[in-house]
Amino acid sequence: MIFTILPFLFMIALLGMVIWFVMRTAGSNNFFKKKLVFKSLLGAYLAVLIASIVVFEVLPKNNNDLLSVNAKEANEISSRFYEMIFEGNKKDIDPALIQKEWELEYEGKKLELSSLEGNFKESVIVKRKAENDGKIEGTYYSSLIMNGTDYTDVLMPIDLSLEEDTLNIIGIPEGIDLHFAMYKNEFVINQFTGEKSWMDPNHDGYSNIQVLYLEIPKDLELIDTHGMGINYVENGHWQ
Amino acid sequence: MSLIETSLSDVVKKQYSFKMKVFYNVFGSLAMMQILSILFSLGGVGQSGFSSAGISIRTSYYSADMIIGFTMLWAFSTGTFITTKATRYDDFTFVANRVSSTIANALFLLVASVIGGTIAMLSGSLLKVLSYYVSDVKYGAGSSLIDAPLEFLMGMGAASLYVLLFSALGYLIGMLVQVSRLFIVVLPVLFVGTIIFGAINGFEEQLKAVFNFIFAEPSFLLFFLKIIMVSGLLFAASAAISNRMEVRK
Repeated sequence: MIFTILPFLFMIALLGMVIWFVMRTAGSNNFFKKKLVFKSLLGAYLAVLIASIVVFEVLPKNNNDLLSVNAKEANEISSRFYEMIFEGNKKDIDPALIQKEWELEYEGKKLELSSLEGNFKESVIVKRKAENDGKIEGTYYSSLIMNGTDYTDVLMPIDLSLEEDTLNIIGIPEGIDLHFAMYKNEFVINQFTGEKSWMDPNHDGYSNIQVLYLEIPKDLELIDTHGMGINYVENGHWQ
Repeated sequence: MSLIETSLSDVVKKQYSFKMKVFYNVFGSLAMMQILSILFSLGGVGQSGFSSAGISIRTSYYSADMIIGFTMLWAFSTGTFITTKATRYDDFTFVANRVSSTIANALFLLVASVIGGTIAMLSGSLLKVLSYYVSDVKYGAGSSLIDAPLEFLMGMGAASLYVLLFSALGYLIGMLVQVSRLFIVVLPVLFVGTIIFGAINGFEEQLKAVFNFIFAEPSFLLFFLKIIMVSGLLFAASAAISNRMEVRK
């Protein structure tokens, strides 16, 4: 914890030193002493600045964590995905969106969907297969892009567990609070490179896809006990 | 009286070097202003957030935006400071007229602006280093001097030009105030009033156009020309106004 306070202490110490020096020489009539102190302070500040450039380069930065996405790409991801899902077309969806896949065997006639653990308020889209092969194929698609940054990998995927005649959807645990910090270019640079500033409402893309897609045997009846809202698709139209 | 005729450039040079020696204090206030703005920026200059069922993600953004803004403020106040009586009377020790005084002041403000803008961008690096320890920075984007030197240099140039513009504005307003104290009230009222009037009566497009004329200029060359032109006009206007104060009261 001491490390978080360190920079504040550093800045306050710097400010305090400056004020102390200035006050010491304020009353003095020695013009040259004042100027010397003053110049050395300014020189020290400049030296700190130049040192910080070097230090900044040397700092280990993990750039692999979050990718940058622009508005057009983000919107495309969203619209393409929903287009494919709408048609029940699983094969053409970008595999990068797949977070988890399950293949469960179920021979029963009725299946209850429940979500008791964790939070699952996302969409469930179901497609009936052409035959009764006793298998349920589930895929969880997820993509979270906010302000031009892809946070998808930050979210944990859900899990499915089949117990007797109930399919449990285990959602994300409640109360997760993540805090990131990012460096951005200044507005004087963005003005010429065309990059939108974070203040711009049309700033980079936004895409929020959290969809559980199930392909179930033809005659399987799904019971939605908790009112999750199941959307059925079949080759191009919602049922 | 001197028997040697002095040329304009000689007088300007003498005045300029005098001002550089005497006004060194402004750089002290620049440094202090920037240290303060770094402290203010340590919490992030911007935030964005997302929350959905059970999960919330907040992102803080760090950049030198606030530091550059504070530097523009500093430039404005420095421009005003130079027009005060005490500093104007210093010019009477020289064989000077209003043109040479204005040019010397403009030169000084130009140098101060370049220093201010450059240091503001460098302070951005200091801020980023400090914020690295304050928050858990997950993603380091942005141009630094070594990653993209051309962009960084362009940023320094643009920041210096913005600061110059504000110093010229401050200088003109300082001059106006010297002519008549009434301007201290009239100018802010005029400024705020125009904005409010424009917003209410649907002149938003025109108001935005004025703002965008400089702030949304995408070509660096045009931006450079625009700022130089506007600053030149502001200084010329100040020179004309200072005519009224030729004689020591």
